[in-house]
Amino acid sequence: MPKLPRGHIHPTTQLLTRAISAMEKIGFEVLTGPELTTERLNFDVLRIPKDHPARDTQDTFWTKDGKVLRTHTSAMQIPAMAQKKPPVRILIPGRVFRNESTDATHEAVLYQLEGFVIEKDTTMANLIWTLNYLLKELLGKDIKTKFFPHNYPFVEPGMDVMIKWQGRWLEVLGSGMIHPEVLHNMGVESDKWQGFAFGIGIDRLMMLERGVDDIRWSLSGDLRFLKQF
Amino acid sequence: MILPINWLKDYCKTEKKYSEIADIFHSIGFTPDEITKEYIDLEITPNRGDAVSVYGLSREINAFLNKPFTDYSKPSQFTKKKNSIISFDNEKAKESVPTYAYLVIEGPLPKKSPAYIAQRLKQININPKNNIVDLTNYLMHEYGQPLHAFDLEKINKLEIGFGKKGEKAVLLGDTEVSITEENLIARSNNTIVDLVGISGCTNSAVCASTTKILMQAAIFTPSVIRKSAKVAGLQTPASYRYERGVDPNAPTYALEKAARILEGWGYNIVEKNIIVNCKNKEKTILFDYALIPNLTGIKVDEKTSRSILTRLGFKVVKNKIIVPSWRTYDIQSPVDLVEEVIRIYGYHNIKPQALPSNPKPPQKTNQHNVNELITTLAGMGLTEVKSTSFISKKEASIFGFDEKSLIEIEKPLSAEYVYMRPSLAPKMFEALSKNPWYDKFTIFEIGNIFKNGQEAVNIALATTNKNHCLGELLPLCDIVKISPEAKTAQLYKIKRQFFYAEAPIEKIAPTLLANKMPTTHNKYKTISKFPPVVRDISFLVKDSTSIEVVSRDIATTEDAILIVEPLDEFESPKFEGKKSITLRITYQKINETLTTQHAETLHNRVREYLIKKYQASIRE
Repeated sequence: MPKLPRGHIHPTTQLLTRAISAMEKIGFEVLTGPELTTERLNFDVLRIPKDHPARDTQDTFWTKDGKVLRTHTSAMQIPAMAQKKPPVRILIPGRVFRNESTDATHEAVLYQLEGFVIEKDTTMANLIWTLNYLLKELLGKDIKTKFFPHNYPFVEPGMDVMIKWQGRWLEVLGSGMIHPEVLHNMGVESDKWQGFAFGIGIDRLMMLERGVDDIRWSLSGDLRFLKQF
Repeated sequence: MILPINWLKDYCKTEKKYSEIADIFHSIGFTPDEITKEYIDLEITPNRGDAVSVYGLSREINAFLNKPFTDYSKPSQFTKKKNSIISFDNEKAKESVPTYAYLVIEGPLPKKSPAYIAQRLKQININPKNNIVDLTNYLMHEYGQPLHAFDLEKINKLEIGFGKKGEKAVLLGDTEVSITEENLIARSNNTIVDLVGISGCTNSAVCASTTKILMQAAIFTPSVIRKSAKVAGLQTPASYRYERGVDPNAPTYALEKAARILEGWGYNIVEKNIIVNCKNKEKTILFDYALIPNLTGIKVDEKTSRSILTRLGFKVVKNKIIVPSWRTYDIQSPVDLVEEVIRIYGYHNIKPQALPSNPKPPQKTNQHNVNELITTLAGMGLTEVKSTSFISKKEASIFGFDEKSLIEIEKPLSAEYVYMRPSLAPKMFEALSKNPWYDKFTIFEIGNIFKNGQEAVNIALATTNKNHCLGELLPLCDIVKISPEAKTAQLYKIKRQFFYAEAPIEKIAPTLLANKMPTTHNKYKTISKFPPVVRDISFLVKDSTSIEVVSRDIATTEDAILIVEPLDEFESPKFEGKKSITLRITYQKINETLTTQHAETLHNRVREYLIKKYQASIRE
């Protein structure tokens, strides 16, 4: 095989690969799952009921036969636990879909990395440590983080994470302690086990890391973009 | 939710600056979207219906500032009159209206509002109309309780029930809506006079000649209003609050305040009535304070926890926690109380703690194969593309996909999002068409495809290189030669021949996993809207010169250089200790088309730079 010219790996793949190997070092295993899922797995079992405004926070693609293109990788939490028993440390990378018009900062097809831990006495202090570790691995050891309360129906307490990037504080991910009802829906006894979950938007992080100013380059197939990385 | 600072200070005595106030709200779970000296615009998550008001937000910041909780919901004298103006069509309608309170008001004709009300309404982007309507809007923002004023001479009864198909209603602002069985409405003399919980109708609105008013403050079931607003395609400040849950005690304290203000303006409160269809049940949670350290990893002593909960309006009797009426929608279990305590105590007080080392090392999974495959292919000179998961109707027909086997999107936003891709081909072809300036290149994509109700992972490869090695890469796959005359090539305006292959990933992955490539840390350079010029350059340099170092170096010499790619490197005895390097340079200009002449000038400068810095001899 010829050695040159060399090829290029999509910057989102590169970032995901680095995230995965960092998390494998601290004992996470990687699972994947279908992009097309059900209303039950994407919403209901995650405590996002049909007649509640929480549904509005995620514009959803529905198929004609009533299925859902997953709006977040959290839709994989319950299927993942169907194959596993705690204690677990699981990582789920993949595509998610948002039914909204695209512009420089919005895409209908996005990448997320979901992570969750279910063990005997995992705490928010562990969650904060883990997120600091991951963000430092991805964006450099000097990265500054801040943690804020935020409500996501499937975690309680819920938490948002901001990083300081070029002088500005930016929100980069949502997380929290897995809600006991969600643990129950996973088939896990919530009086014996507890854990945390987080979901990171990978495209946004890639754009920060590389300085990309328009998300639409990512799926453009334009070699002037891809050959830069 | 726009929170004017001076309005907040009616309920929160603080000397803090607006920016500090914004920081406090952020730290307790309300993200500021906009911060100005006059107001802060706060994001309220859907679970916090109680916080969509000035009063509600003051409860939050007072709890943080360690101020004792002040309850403004004073007991009020509302009578439960038997033969009221209000009636309900049936049980379902009754269940949808747990509480309905109202005032009957007589007095002077409506006039302009006092300045403080008009000014505050302008701050929250509401145009003042007259003192009666303004007062309802003002109190809605203050207490989170939607109020509505009917002209009592235009209605004689209010019958609340569900709509019938085919009915129409003209809402305030002259919007006509079609009514369905999902809409909760109020009728008077068989005419719809209110789209309940969403908007009043013009036919019963307060106007310049109004002298008798019914002012309503009610509680409607959140899911009923949500469904109704959805089918009507509307969201109003009232429906927004009802969907999120309004404090069951708010109707009386909001009307109590309205009555006091109206009396001050010379109005008579003729009636103060309340109908309770469903009593608000008190919610008690048994709370083990040890749950706080168990879940968060920090110790908050019991006294502090109790103090925080009390400041937020919870009644604490040892381990029995009584939820205040305005939080009954979102506080359901002990973990909710943990969040209440910890968000006021401060997330920043949680000290990070390393995860214990995992006894189970991670297993190799499919994802590893995919990643290895990508590195291997890139190491062999292929470039990874990613493309959208959707295709258009046009693409489906050109590629001859059987529409019955495709997964179709419900109400697609645009023609690009009609089907889920059953193959990677359409977008791979599109990628080929987008890169006319590069001659020989090979790209690949690995992604999920959707066919016959099944989802699978495919790999696709495409090359414009005649001497391609797809056969070697894909010994088990069909490699298709596509000529520019092919229908598919024409659709994408691909004017050259290329080769294409696609297969399920598990079919080819095992034969492919070999040499790897490191990831890069390159920053993105802005890509011009104008076409680039691509030029190669070959030269001889000292054997010790690294092709990667030269490439990176040249990339920094001119702004007009977008990409420098190492293309070829070889040694030969006739070079006498030197080696030959070939680079491919992509030039562009940001604001205009780069002419061939200008590109030649730039390319010459690179030649001169190589000669000067690396003592290179140019080959070509």
